[in-house]
Amino acid sequence: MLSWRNLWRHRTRSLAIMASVVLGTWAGAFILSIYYGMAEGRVKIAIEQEVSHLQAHHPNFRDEFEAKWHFTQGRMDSLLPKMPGLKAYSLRSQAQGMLANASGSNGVQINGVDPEREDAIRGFRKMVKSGLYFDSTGKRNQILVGKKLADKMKLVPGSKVVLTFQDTGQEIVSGAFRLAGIFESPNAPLDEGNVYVRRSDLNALLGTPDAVMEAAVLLSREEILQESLDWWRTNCPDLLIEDWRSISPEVALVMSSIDVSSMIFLVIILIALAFGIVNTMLMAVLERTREIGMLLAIGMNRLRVFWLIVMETILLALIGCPVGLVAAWLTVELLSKKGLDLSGFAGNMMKDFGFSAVIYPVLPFEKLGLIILMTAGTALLSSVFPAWKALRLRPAEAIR
Amino acid sequence: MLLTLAWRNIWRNRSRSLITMASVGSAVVLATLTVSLQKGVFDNLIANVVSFYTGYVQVHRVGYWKEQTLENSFQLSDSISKKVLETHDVQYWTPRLESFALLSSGEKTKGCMVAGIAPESEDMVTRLKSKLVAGDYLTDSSRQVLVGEGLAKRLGAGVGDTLVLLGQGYFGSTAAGKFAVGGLLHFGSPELNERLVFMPLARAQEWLDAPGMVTTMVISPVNPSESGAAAAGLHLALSQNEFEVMRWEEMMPDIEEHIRTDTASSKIILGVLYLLISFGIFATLLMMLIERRREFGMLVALGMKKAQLARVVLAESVLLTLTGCLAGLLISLPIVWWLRERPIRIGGETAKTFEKFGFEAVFPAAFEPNVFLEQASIVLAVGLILAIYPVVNVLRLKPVEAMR
Repeated sequence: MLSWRNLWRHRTRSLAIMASVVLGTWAGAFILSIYYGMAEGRVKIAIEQEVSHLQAHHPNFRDEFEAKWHFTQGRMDSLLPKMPGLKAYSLRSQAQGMLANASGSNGVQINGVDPEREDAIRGFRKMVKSGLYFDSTGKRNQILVGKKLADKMKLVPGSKVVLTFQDTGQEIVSGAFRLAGIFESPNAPLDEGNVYVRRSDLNALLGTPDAVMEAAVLLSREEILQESLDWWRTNCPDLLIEDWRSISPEVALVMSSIDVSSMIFLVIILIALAFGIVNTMLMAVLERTREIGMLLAIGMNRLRVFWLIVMETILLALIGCPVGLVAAWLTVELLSKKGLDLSGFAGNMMKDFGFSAVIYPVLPFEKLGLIILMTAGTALLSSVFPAWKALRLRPAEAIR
Repeated sequence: MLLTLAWRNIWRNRSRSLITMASVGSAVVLATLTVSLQKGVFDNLIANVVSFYTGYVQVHRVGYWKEQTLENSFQLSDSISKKVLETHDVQYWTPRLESFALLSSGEKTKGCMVAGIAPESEDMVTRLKSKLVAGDYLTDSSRQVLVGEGLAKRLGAGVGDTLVLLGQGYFGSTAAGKFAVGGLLHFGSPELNERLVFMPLARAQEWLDAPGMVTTMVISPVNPSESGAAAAGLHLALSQNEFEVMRWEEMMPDIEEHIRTDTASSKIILGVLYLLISFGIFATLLMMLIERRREFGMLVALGMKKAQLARVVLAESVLLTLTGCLAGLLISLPIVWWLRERPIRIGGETAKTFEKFGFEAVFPAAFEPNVFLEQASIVLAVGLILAIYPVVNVLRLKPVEAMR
C-alpha cells in the first residue's frame, strides 16, 4: 500500500524504472522473435520447398544410391491417397551421375519427377526463372538445371547436355537432354547439385519403367506429422520412412545454433536490464536517504522498509512487463507484415545458406512465460540489493 | 576552477558518482562481451570449417583453382618452400598433390578426390590424425591409403581391403594402382566424408607419374585472424605470374556469406543492447538531476550563472563517463579472457547435432583489442551525447520552483 503511494509520489523515478522494465521485456521478446522468425523461415523453406514433411526410401538407397534399391509407383499410388492429413505427394526416381557439355562436366543428382506433382508439393513451377517448367508439348528428354550450375557450365534454355549414370543392372548409360528452363530455389547449394527431368524419361534410361526411389509427402499441417509417420511405417515396414528433421540434418544444425545464440544474447540483455534497474533503484535509495532514515527513526521495522522497496520494484515490474510485451507484440506484428529485410546488411546473401533474405519475426508464445518470468525475476533480484542498502542506513546519520 | 568544482562534486557524493560510473562501466562490459561472443562464435566456426580440409590460405600455380587438373601443378623446389616459410605471419605449411579419380572395390566404383600429403605436416595444419577412426595413420613411406568413412561404406570396404584407383596421370597418361586401406577417417561434412582418399605424397607422385610435383600448398598462419596478412605477404613474396594465393573466403564463399548474414542479425541485437544501455545511463542521469534539483536551484539563486553551472555539470558527466568507460574496459578484459579460456559449453541434444557435423558445441569468446576499444568508444560517445541532457536541464532551471 505504502509502496503504491510511493510510486505515485515520485513519478519520474517510477517512470524511469518502469521504462527500463518495458524496454527489457521488449528487447528480450523482440530478439527471441527475430531468432524464431529466422528459424521458422528456414524450416518453412525446408518443408515447403525442399524436403516436404515425410520421405520414404528403400533402406539401402540413401547409402549407396543404386537404382536397384527402388519400390514401385503402383504401390504408392494405391496407398498414399489414404494417408491421414495428406496434402500432396510426389514420386521421384533418382540417379547419381554426370552432366556434361562442351565446357566440362559436373557430378549431379538426377531427379525424375512428374511435373504436376512436383509443383503441387513444393511450388517448383514458380522457381523456374528463365525458360519453361517443362515444355507442355511433351517433347521427350527435357531437363531443368539450377542457376548456379547453369552459370558454371554456360547453359541457356535450349542448350544440349548429356547425362551419364548407372542403370539398374550397373551398366553405364547416357542420354542427350535439352535444357527446358533454369530454376532458382532458396537453397543455392542444393541447386548446384540437383537437376530435374521427367520421371518417365529417366526410368526409360534406367530400364525400370515403374521405379520410384523417393516418395515425398506434404501434410496439411505440422501437428499431424507423428501420426502420419506412424501410419506410413505400419503400412510399409520394409521402407525407411523419415521426417524432415532426419532427412535434412543441416536444418537441425541451424535450429540448434539459433537456439544457443538466442539464449546467450537473452542472458546478456537481462544482465543489461538488471544493471539498469539496480542503478536506478540505488539512486532512488540515495535520494530517499532522508525519507528512509525518518521512517526508521520513527520506529518503522527494518524488514518492512526492505519489503517497501522490493514491493515498489515488483509493482513497477508488474506494470512494465505487460506493456513491454504488448510493445514487442506490436513491433513483431508490424514487422511480420512487411518482413525485416536483411539484404541491406547481408547483401542478398542469405539464400546461399537456404535462408530467405527477409526475416518475418515470430513471437514464440510458448516462450513468453519464460521472458516474463526472467524479466520479473531480474527486476526482483535487482531490487534486493538497493533494499538491502537501505536497510543498513543509520537513521541518525541519514536524517542529517 | 571549473574542473576543481566538478571534481569536488564527484567526491562529495561518492555513492552517486559510483553508481553513474557503474552504469557506464557495465555498459562497456556488456557491449564488449556481446561483440566478443559473437565474434568468437564466428571465429570458431571458421576454424572448424577451415580445419576440415581447406586450411586458411592455399598457394597454387596460377589458374589451378579454376581448372583443377595436374597440368596446373608445379615443381616444389626448396626455394619456394623457403620463401613461404620466411613470409611473415606464416607458421607452417604442407604440400598436397590433388587429383580426381575413380575408386573401385569389387563391383562398385565411386568418384573420389585423392590427396597425396606429407603426413606429419598435414596433421599440423588440418589435424588429420584426430579424424582417424580405424586403422593407422600414414607415414611418409607407407603404401596404404586412408579413406573417408562414408566413401568406404559406400564401397563396402574396410581396413585391410584392397582398392583400385584409376585416374589420369600427368600429361594425360593413365594412372592405375592397387592400394590397401590403412585406415578410415571421419569428416563432419558428408561431402568430404564421401569423397576423400589420402596417401603419402611420394606414393601419389609415383602413381600419377608426376615426380616432384604438387598442386597445392596449404598454409597455416601464426594467428588465424591474421590470415589476410599472411596471404598478402605470400602474394608479395611469390611471383604473381606463376602462383595464385587464395584465402578461405575465396575458396569457401558460402561459409563467408553465412557469417555475413549472421552478422546482420547480430547487428540488430547489438542495436537493441545499445538502446537498453543508453537507457540505463539516461535513467541514472535523470535520478541525479531529481536528487540535485534543490542544490542547483540554490546555486542559481545565490547568483551562479546558469551557463557556469551547466559547464560544471557537463564536466562532471564527462569525467564520470570517461572513468566509467575506463573501469568498464579494465573489468571486461579479464571476463572476456576467461570466457575465451573457459568457453561456454552446450550439452544435450544440441551438442549431438553439432557433433554430427564435426563441430564441438563450445562457444569461446574472441579476445581482440579492437573490440574493446571500439565498444568503449561507442559507449563513450553514447555517454557524452546523453550528458547533454543535464546541461539542457540546468539551463532551463527555474530556481524558485526548484528550491520548493
